[in-house]
Amino acid sequence: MTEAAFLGLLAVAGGLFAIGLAGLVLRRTVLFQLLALEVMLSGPALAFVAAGARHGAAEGQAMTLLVIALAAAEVALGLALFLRLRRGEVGTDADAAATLRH
Amino acid sequence: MDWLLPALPVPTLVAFAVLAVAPVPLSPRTTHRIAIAASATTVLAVLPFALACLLHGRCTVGPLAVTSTPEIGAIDHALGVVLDPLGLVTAATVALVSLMVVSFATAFMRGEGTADQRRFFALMALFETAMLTLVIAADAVVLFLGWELVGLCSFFLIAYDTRSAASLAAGRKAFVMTRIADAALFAGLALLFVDNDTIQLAAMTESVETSPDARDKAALALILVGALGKSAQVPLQTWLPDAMAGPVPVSALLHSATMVAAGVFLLARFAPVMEAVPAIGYATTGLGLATALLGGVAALAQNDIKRLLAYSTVSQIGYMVMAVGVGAVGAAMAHFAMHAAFKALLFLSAGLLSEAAGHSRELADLRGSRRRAPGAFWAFAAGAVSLAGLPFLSAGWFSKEAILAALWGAGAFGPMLWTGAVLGAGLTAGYARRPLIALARAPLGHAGEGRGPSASDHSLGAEMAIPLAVLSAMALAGGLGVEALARFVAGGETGGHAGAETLLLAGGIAAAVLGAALAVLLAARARTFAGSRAAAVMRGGLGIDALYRRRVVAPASAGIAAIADDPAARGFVAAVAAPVGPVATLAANDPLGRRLDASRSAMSPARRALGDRAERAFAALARLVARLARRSRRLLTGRARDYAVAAALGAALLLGLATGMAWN
Repeated sequence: MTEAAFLGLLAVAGGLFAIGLAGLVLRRTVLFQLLALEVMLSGPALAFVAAGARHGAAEGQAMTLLVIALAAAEVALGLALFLRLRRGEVGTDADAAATLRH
Repeated sequence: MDWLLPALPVPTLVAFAVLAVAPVPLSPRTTHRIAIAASATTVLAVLPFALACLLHGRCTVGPLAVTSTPEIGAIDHALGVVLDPLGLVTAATVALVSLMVVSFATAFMRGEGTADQRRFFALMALFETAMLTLVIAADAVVLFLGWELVGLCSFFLIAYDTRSAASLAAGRKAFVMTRIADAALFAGLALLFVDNDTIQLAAMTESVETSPDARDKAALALILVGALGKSAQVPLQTWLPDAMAGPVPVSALLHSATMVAAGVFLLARFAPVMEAVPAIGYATTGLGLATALLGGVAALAQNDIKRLLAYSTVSQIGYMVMAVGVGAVGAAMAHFAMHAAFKALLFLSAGLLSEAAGHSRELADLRGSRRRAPGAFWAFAAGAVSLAGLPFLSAGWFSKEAILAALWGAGAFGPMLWTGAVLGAGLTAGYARRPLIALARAPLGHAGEGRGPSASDHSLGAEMAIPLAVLSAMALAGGLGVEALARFVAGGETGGHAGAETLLLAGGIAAAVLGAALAVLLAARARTFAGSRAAAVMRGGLGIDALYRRRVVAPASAGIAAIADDPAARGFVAAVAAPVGPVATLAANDPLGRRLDASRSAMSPARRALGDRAERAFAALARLVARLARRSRRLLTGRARDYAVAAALGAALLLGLATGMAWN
């Protein structure tokens, strides 16, 4: 892998992370925030793959698998919370759910 | 017993610390007790040294180093104390006179406010501490420390009455005039230090004695200027007559044992070099004689009794300086001790007399004092007789004769000096007799009216009567000890003046008698004399003060005014002075004294000491914590988005830091 390709992949990874962060900070709906979190997580995962390929090491891919597992677990938890919120009085507005209690 | 020597100034220093800074209210009675206890302890502390000297012949203690001394090259910089015969006589006089004056003051200052009395006695204690420090100093640093403290205390005490512009001005004048002298003294001591690589006074004088060079002479001249300024000698004498603006006990102490005596003591310390460097000896003697005559002439025409006494101090110190100049340290210190006794007596009794005469110090208003306040009158008479040098019956006669004899025997100029000094003695007898004549006379028609009999009811308590009695006894009978004292200080030598005893005796007696006659003559022609131009010139100290005012003070003031008118300078001054204002206001409000004066509720000692300040401070702390908590709670919005922003910013910050650190 060339230096330029590596840097390009890192830039894409950074961009994904930034887009995810922006989505997390700017959207108020819990569902969209969960989606944004997924996008954020994909950025570092891509960076791990790129770095693993750059140095010819297996750890990069291993870390990516770990990140995907983490993301799955997080989505499961997040969706459970989302459903719980939707059924309550607060609704899906993240800002309204500021007290962690009813 | 040696350990006691460095502790000599400690009792009064402790008294000063307690009176000045202890944050507990003290009643005037407690204040008085502390002040008297400190002074009495000091007298008791001097006693063992005097006894060791009298009984065992062990008259020199030390020098003792009071600091450990890591070597700095070849420089000897150990701070130390020493008590030799010169120091012993001075310290004993200082301790005794201070005790008398403080005891008198406890009764005399009773009418003042509680805080004012505390301030007064604190400063008096510090005054004594400073003088004792100066006296027992074995090195230039401790000496200068005591010297400056004496000057500072006298400034505060002269300006004690902070509501009176005159006393503030007098304090400032004394401070500035003696500051000129102090700068010279500092330069002189520094020069000697640089030349000799030692701060020990003994080593300095020894080195100058063995091989005086031009620099040593310059240093000695500077030290002489320092001594002249402190002792109010020509040409720096103008501050002392104004210094009588201070309270009566301050004048009594300042004129006798502490402030003005410091210069004489310094010269006596450096006396061995007077012979090695004759020019300095001549200058000292000449200026001393000039001062003695000028003081005498000026005192003769004064109508204010305190001013008269002030000029008499100037002239009497002149005698001591003269004696040191011709090497007669013993005679000088004997006169110092006698003078301290009778001058303190004169000031204290004059204070009582003027109080009895409705707080007037004019001789004309003081007429009739003999009936109004007989106790104070006879005390004053004892002092005046001693000052005048009444032959054979007063201490002043013997000590003055010792000085005159020493002057007669002082080389080729001796008889000339003697003649001048006898003339001065005649003036002394004259100006000492003059107030006595006035006091004994019946009051003028208008002067006694309106004063009422209340003033005559004034009876002396023990606090006043005992000091007056003791000082009177010293002023009259102290003469018996003069010769022994002089020989003791001089180290066994008698003032060798072979022959001419009869002439000396006759001259002294004639001076005393003719001087007294002069006073009678002046009293008889009081009306024409008082109005004459000559009297006015004499009263003004021969115009020297006016000359300084015209030639030095006025141009300097004009220059400062010119600078002050400059806008740039004004802006600068304003900028510099801006932070001073609040501090000055705080100091002027005297928060400590105010708090001490505040009512004392019957509470626990802690509550009484601190008021409810502790409680309020604690409540303020609680309020502060609550406010900080409210502030910090605003960070915790509970909104996930805000936390995400904070986390992102934190991560970015860490990333930036890591990048920055990995850069190099």
